[in-house]
Amino acid sequence: MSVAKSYPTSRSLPMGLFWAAALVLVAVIPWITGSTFHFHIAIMVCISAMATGGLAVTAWVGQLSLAHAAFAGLGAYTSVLLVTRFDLPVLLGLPAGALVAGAVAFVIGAPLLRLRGVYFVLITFALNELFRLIMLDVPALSGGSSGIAGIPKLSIFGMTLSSYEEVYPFALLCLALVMGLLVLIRKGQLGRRFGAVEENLALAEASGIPTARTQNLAFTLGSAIAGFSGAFLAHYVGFISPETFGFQLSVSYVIMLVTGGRLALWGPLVGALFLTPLPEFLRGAVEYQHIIYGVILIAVLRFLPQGLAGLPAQLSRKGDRS
Amino acid sequence: MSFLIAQSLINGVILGTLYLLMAIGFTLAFGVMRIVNFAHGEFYMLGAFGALIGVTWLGLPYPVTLALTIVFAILFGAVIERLVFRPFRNDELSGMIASLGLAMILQHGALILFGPDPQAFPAMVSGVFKWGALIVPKSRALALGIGIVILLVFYLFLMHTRHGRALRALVQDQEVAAVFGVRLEIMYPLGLGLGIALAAVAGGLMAPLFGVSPFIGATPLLKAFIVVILGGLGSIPGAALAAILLGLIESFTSSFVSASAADIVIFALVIGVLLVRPAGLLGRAEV
Amino acid sequence: MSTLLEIGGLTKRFGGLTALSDVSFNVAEDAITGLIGPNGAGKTTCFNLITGTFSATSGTIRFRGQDISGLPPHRIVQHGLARTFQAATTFPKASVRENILRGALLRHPLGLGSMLFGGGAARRAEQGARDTVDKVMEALELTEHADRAAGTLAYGHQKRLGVAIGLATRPGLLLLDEPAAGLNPDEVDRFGSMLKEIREGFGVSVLIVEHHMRLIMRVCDHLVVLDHGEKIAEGAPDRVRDDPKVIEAYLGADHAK
Ligand SMILES: Nc1ncnc2c1ncn2[C@@H]1O[C@H](COP(=O)(O)OP(=O)(O)OP(=O)(O)O)[C@@H](O)[C@H]1O
Ligand SMILES: [Mg+2]
Repeated sequence: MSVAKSYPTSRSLPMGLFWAAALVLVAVIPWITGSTFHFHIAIMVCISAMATGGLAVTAWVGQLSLAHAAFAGLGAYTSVLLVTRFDLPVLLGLPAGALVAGAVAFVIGAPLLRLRGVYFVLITFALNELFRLIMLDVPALSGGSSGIAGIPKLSIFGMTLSSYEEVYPFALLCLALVMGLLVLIRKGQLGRRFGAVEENLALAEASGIPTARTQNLAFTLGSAIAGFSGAFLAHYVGFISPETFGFQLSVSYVIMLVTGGRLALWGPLVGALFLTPLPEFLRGAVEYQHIIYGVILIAVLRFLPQGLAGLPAQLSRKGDRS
Repeated sequence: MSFLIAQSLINGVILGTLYLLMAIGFTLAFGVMRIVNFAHGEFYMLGAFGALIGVTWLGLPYPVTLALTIVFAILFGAVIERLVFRPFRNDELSGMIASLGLAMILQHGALILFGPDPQAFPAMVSGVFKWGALIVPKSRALALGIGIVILLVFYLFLMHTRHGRALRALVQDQEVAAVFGVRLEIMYPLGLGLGIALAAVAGGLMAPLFGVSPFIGATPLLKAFIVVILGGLGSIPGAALAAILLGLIESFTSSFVSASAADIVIFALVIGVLLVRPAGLLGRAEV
Repeated sequence: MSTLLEIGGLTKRFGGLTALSDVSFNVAEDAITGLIGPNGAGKTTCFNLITGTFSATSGTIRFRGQDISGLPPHRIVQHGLARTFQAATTFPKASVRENILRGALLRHPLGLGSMLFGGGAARRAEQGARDTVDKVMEALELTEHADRAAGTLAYGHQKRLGVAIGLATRPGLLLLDEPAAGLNPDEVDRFGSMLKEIREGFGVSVLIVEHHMRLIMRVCDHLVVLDHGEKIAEGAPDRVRDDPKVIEAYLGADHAK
């Protein structure tokens, strides 16, 4: 007999402390090793986790978006253009990117979200491709296929974050904000609504939940987070092109989400944490990286449908039974 | 002007045939197994490499190579169905996500085996057919001819054999088909295998025209995707009509307007059709 | 008894098929009204039209004198018209308590801020809703399963949970689509008694679709009979039972089987 968790979840405190300590331990690794490369990897983990967190919000209402990279791109281009052409501070460029991505998602969300399951995946796939094609077609804005290089670095209050060591704390802060938002969504009444919509849309609607609006809210929030992460990425890496935000990036977000756990609160973080540094462990066999991603994805789908974040629960359930 | 139109028409039909070969497999996998196969383009790529190996390494005649490509693709498809897709039979979304992983594995596997550089495929025939001002390279005519023959054989298989009828029954209605004794453990691998074989043979046919590299699968996948959405997911007649239509549109627009503008219009059309008629232009209006 | 729901000339066509044709009837306050008819008669379609799942081809639907046609389902529940589904539908991963709570929260609306950040309003809303949940669980005898995942319940319990979720929205009229289908005879009897208790305890009127004639005859105050999308009879249960048209519709359907 399985006992369901009732929302909001109350996890046993010692386990929570254990995981929090583990997370802190992982987060300080770059400072311990002092390796620039580790700082870079850690920053990339933060960016990926933010983006995947956005994807998770949409997934929590039962929709999987393959246009997530396009929204990241929308945020990136918004911030870069505002910063380079209108001298907006980068610190404002990031939320502006989120705002524009969220606004676009809100407008197109209403008709889009009437499609469900694979049909929604297909239309978002087409949308991502349309975004890439349109951006390629307006080189005056996007730099065309050669992209935009020399993007201003991240800076806060006039202070440029020029080294990896300086960017990392800011990346951690941003990630904490995004994860904080995810926690608020998940633990509050909104999470209850999302759960209802994800589990049984018709019943949710019949219980008085405005399902269309709820899904659109999730899509808007999730895409806004994508826009934020895309803007961060642009200012961190210093180069973007329409190809940066193509199908492959959307797929890699999906892989991180599914590997971490599609419906788990901490799934996006776990997925990004597990997959982003993976190439680092494959020294000398980097060409196998994508093959391993593919194998992990299929294996997780098959054997860990709750993702890695659901692994402890899955193991303890097995333990109980034996 | 009328010459330009005729030339565009012929090019459009050639493109349409290629797209149809790609789209039928894609739509068959969806119709039979409810799988949206994002790895479909990679089988085109593998088919092209298969043909390259047959013709240049093993020195086999081109037609024999194509036949072998088909046989191996069917077997490979059956294996893939067993290993990758079978666990997700009742879960469309997971099956689709799994196909994303499969695509990565196949593409990067090919990258490791063959390297990233495009490889030339020896010309199978040379010269052109000329009718007045109209020019068709013989290589294109060959691809078109074989493609049409394969499509015809496949059509006859679907319409007039037991397995073909079973496949069509599955596309129509899974439950009814199962009640009437259609054996899923045979039909699923067969459906996927045949679909993959059509993609692979398309790769083998187009290899002499476009060359071979691990990255050539993306475009045919996109085209199959467009055709299948316009024609209606799971609908073979819809795919046939949409493939020819897309081939003609592309051929004409590239003669008269910029290709990138045409692509944008086509994708906007795809999105519009999904929104308004998710079952395709010809399909019944229900999701 | 005053009229709660007025259906006037309701028609629904699916392409060429007329699933419901010019159907009119009233549902009285404080009554249990039965909507019966052979398979495919149009009963579920009628529910779907009333609750806004489909829009009617033509006709009017008035609830407490107000025109509710064209409203989306979640707005119609707010008006006090809740429904259950023919299949056993629940939120399978959530606990029984959580399932019912999701319905009960309808009567405790919150702004987006409170939904995200919690606070006093959210806490009061949840407390209020939990009171309703306890009451509903008690009435439908689900209390002992409160913490189990809905998807793991026995079929009969899942069907009851469906009714509980609808009841938790505190409707004036509860529409039940074959709530007793798949239950064993004892469970059917028990369900009949529950239904009567619910009507008293929650002050709710009921429109019920059922094939269990014994249950219908026992609990219903009034019957409406559909066949092939048309209303063929209406009236007190024992009167309707003896109506030759009704007998023919059912016997015809039986012979067809
Ligand atoms: N969404 C739909 N699209 C097309 N036809 C439909 C749809 N829903 C119902 N129908 C048709 O409308 C008719 C009435 O169906 P309905 O489900 O209302 O019957 P019912 O009285 O509830 O039957 P049952 O007792 O079997 O539940 C049937 O012929 C059915 O096939
Ligand atoms: Mg019914």
